[in-house]
Amino acid sequence: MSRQVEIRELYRQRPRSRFLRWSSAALAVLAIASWFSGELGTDDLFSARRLANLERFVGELVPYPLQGEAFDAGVAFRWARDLMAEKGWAAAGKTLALSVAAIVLAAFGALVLAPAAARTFASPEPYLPGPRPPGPLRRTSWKAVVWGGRALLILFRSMPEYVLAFLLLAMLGPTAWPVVLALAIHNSGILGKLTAEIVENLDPKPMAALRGLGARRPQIVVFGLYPLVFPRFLLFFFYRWETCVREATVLGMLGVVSLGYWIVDARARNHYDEMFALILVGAAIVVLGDLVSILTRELVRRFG
Amino acid sequence: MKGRRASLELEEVSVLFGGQTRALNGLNLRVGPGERVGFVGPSGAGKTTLLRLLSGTQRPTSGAVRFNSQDIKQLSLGQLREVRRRIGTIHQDLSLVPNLRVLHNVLAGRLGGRSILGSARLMLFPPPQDVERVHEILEMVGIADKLYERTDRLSGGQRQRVAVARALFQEPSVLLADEPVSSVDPARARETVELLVDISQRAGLTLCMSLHNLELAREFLPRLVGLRDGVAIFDRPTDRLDDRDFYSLYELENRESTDVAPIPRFRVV
Amino acid sequence: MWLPSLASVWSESAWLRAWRSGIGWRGLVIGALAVAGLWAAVVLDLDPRDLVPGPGGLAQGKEFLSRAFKPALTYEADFVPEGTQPLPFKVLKAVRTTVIFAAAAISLAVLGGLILGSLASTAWWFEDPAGGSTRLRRVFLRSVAPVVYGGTRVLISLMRSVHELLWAVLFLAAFGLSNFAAVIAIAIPYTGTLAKVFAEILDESPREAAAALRAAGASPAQVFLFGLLPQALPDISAYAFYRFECALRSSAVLGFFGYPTLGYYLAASFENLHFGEVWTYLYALIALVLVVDWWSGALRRRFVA
Repeated sequence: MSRQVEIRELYRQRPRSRFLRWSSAALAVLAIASWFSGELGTDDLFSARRLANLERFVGELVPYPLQGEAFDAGVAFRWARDLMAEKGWAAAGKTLALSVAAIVLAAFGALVLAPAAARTFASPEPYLPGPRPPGPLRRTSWKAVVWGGRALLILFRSMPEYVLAFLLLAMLGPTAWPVVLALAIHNSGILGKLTAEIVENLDPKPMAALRGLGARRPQIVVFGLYPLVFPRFLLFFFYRWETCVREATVLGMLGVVSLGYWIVDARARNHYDEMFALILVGAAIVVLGDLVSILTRELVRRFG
Repeated sequence: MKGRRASLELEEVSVLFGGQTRALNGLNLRVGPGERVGFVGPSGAGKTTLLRLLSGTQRPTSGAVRFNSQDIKQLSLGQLREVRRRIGTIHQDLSLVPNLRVLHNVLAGRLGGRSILGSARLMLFPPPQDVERVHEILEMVGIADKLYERTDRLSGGQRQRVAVARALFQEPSVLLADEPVSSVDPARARETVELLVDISQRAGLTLCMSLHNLELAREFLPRLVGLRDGVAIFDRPTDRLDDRDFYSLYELENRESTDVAPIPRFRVV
Repeated sequence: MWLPSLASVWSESAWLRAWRSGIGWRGLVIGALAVAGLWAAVVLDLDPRDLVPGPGGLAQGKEFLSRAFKPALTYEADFVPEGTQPLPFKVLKAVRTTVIFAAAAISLAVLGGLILGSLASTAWWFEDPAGGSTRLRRVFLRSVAPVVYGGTRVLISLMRSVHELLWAVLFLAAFGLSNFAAVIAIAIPYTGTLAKVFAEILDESPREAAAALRAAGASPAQVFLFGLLPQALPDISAYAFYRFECALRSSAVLGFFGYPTLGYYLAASFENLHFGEVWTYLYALIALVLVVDWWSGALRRRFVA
């Protein structure tokens, strides 16, 4: 009997996190409630009209010259080759270029913003104490720098690329800039946050040594932080480039002549065979990007 | 209780790693029901491999491993699991799940032989009598108050006890311990070995333990097997072993490192 | 004969020397990236002068930005029909649908991700080193397991490689406008991504405890559920939560394709040049993402540390 009492007492005193408990409960409720909210009715999804529509749609995914015909590999190949020659290759190239331009810009943005958002660097006395303790004004102003840097990064990161591109398009007109900038801004937010975390976790000794030699802040950044951050930064760079490729295929929908553009164009013309083929081309580019990214990251890990 | 006592037997067992590295070489060993045996010898002698053979988690390259006279090789996977269920092992690295509570780590010892649903019930909604049994065992190893503590919050010595408790909760017939005291301070080491020997003596368990610490081995274990380079150098009751036997066990190791003062060599017959 | 000479030529080459010294290696990478960036700029015809908006765009941009500090709390339209619900309610409704889409999609994706991720990890088919007489198991490990593993990997890669908006476009063409289809559109690529990362987490978590449970007679399923999964669970939940944040963004963007999430109203207000309303929706979206971001951060600190 006493053992049971003891166990009950231990159970009552068990260490637990109320926050964790409530959060899991809230998430479970949210997930279940979302399905019973009445917004996601599935009953009309399989109505006769929709099913007929679906059947027609699936039939139209087959390349046009082959619809209603026996399958002929030669015809299919020529159709695909013409499609690629007309739009596919150029659009694929543009998609790739969009992602590259965006990630390079994003890297610049992240490298500029990250030191400002890193508490170890953006402090009144980075890495070494100064001749006298910093006054309250300097202390608060550096706090403001860190806070501002972080706020900016969070803001960048919380804006979906698509929304940014949509807004920028209206302002800058139909060049590739809106898409490139939208991708660059969002990703510099993410890369910047990750880089700031790397900077904060760096071993401070090399920077302290530089500081001891009389280096100024920009010099510490260029000769201390950047070289030390470089290998891990590259890992994140390629990891984000992977997602940039994915997003670039889609952002063309807003009017830049990349894959996304031709996909919505084909859909508007009800050429579902073309739409489907171009989606597959997009998937191929993404898989290719993934492979390149995995390969480079492995190389960086080996030699970085 | 049925089949509580068990014997282990190795017959001409060799284990090769990667086709050439010989971890064990033609070993013969019989451990009777309720016997308590220590394995001693320099590191790399094959003690861990020997224990893994005995626990049925290592296949011999040649020779036979027998549990209660059954050749493990002849068993089906289900039967093998049943055998393993009856062998409690305390691993050198403890092998606990760090972010589970002590209770669940100990409960996991009795997963063997249960259905998925049954094991989910055991782990998620443990029956009171199982919790009581866990508490009782924890009391025996001296950490009853840690029942609901997260395992990674415990000290090394306390975690050691959790590992012991898990093996005991299994209700095993055989207790295997691989260097159970390698990560604790000398006082704790003594306590732990004493505890393991005491428990197996009281419950009539067969105990096999590998130990670096010769002093503890000679004090607590009635029979010792000396291993070197995968070969048993001696296998005798402890009271019939003397210092010379132990010198011979470590002889090669000392001869190899030339900067150590030479130790007189003894010939063993 | 020629082999050593080749090696000496190679060792003299500038490439290798650059490779050997750290700065050279870094210089090479940076150089390559700069070239790639230039190529992209040429292909895309990126002209810095285009960054300066034309007079029309400039005026619009100015007006748009000036409303950043004055988000609308009431409708900006001249005529608002009788009985229209006030703007804040409409915003909250849009937020609600956005959250519902994201939560429904991520709940499906986590479920699918756990199943596919487990299949795509090597954790469940490592060989039992004492699997003695079980020929069946050996056959399973040699042929069935690699097929399941490889097949799952390919499936995951296919699901991931098509963007959620493209899935949405496909489903729009196939089913017409259906909220359920939108949820599936988000869920498919998210399942793929979650499965891939879950598999990596499972493969990286320590296996000692799992091996110990196996040595105690547990079946492979039990070993997986109680020896491996609990250790991976903190990382798995943290990542799933991060993906929930991403799902919120995706769900909002789906509005641009006609679904009743934030993006729909945002685009509509923008096209009517009601910039104050646009900012209201933007702030609602940012607030939503920030709340989830804070929440996942707080959980992560408690869970992982």
